[in-house]
Amino acid sequence: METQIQSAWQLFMTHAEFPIMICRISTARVEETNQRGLDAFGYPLSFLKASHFSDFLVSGNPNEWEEQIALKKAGLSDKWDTKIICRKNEIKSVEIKFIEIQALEDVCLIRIKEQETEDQKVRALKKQLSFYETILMQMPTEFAVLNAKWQYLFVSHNSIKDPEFREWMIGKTDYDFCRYRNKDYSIAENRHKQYNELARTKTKKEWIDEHKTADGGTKYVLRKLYPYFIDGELQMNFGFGIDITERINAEKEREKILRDMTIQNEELKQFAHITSHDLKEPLRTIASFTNILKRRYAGSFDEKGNEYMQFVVDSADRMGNLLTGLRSFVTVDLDRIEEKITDINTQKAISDAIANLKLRIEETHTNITLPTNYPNIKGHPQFFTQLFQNLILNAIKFCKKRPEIRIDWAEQTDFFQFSVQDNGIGIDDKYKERIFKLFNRLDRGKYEGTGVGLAICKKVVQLHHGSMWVESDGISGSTFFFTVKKNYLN
Amino acid sequence: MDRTVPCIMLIDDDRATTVYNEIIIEEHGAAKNIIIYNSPEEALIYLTTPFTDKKISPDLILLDINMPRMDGWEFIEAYKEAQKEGLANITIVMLSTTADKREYEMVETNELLSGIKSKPLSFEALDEILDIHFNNLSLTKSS
Repeated sequence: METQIQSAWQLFMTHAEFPIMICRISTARVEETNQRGLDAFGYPLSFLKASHFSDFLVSGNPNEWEEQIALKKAGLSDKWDTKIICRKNEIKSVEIKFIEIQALEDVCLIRIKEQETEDQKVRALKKQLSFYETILMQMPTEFAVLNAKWQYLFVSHNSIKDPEFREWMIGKTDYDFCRYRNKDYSIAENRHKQYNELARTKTKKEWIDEHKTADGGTKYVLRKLYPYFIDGELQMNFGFGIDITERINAEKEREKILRDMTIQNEELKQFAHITSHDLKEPLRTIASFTNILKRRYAGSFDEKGNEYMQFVVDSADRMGNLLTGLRSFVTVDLDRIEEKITDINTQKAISDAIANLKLRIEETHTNITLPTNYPNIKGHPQFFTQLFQNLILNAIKFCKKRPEIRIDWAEQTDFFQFSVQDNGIGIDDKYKERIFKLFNRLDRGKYEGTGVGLAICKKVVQLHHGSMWVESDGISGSTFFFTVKKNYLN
Repeated sequence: MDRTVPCIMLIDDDRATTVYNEIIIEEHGAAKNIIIYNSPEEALIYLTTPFTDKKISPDLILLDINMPRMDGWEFIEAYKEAQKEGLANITIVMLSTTADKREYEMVETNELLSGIKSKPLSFEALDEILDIHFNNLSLTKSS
């Protein structure tokens, strides 16, 4: 047991992170020390063991050892600061602490803590300094510090690459910079305007500098200048320069695309307006005169002639309907939507839609099941009514029996979802996208219509930042769903 | 319903339209005389020079809106000027291809205009015009 503890003690001594020594109390003779102790003094163990610890103390007090032993024994103090002389006459400031003192055995255990020397302090400071300097120099933005007189105190590597010039800038102003680099003074003047503004408002300034580059392009640098005050007195300013050329160019590109698209869109609208409006005029003349021909000269044609005439009349009619459809489609327009966005009472919108179809509903004995309560939404009231009107009309049109329509809605996180369910002919999966396209009709001839209604519905929904789709098993009816954003503006 | 106004003037730059409207008015029998102008400027000259037994004043003008040199609205402005010179009040009804809400509103707020009808001109439209604006005509005729 005793040997186990002894070997454990031995281990502790070897691995301890600080110098430990065992000395005689009476003579201060060194009995034992660990590796750290050897490192601290720089002498071999044999030399140390032949020495007295008090010999290494160089404070000038010959009774230092005895005095400290006495203080420890009296329980007044167990440590003191002093200096020791090591190998090569190196003087080290240390703190010595009694860990254990056994008066009867005449043995004491001391710990030595080395104090930092001035040299070490300077070295540590330098290390720290270079650490911060590296950070400042390597900052991915341009960085500079200016004093209250707008002289540069620090300029980062990213601001000025040439180390000599960087050194030169210290203590100089932007005017000096312009003079030295033979640059236009307006650069300095502009900056000083910002500086003065900052001094006046005592808040950070932000602006964008434009520099011409060698290849004839423009470099954009976002400047941010933060003032630093002590007791309300401007001390320093921290200036950042961030190259935002890519961002600005991307923005410009986006603006250009947007501008081009606006023009194109305007032309397209114009085109749609012309097709839907101006083409109607000659079409009307064709229809009018074919009707007169039919009325006045029907007897002069044979059966084929009359049939051909009917083709002309029917086609003119259909084209007229298509043009009317196109016109109502282009009327659903973003500009109009945004102008008139308001609170919509959906109950009123739906009942208006039903009222507009009153005759059709009565004729077909259509039964409509309505929800028990209604949400209030933001949107364009007129288009919203039209949306429901088109969906209800669709449900009535594409139905071979007595139409049963169920209108319902559900609340979602950001949307209200509406549904219009019917018992009509249903829609095959492959047509579920196609039916929303303009002038797309699945059963031409069998069912009336121009293929505009659902296209308008989808457009209205999209302009309300929602989406629209249909679900159907292809046999027993369809359910049209659409969502509208709860808060149109967000 | 077989009322007849003494004279209807048709103003439309499109000859096909005036020919068609003439046929419709003839078939309907709404007018004894029909004066046709494919130029609003010439129609204005007709209206602003003194009427005689042979050059009669129209009782109703059916006016096209969309015309290239002088449109229906400009015609109305010129007509208003002519009225200051003593031109008598004539019932004017606009004819329009679109006949949309905006046009209806513009017609309603214009005191010189009596109405707007969408093209093509129909018997029903003529009936309505006669019913509303020439009701007393038939009364005086039948009495």
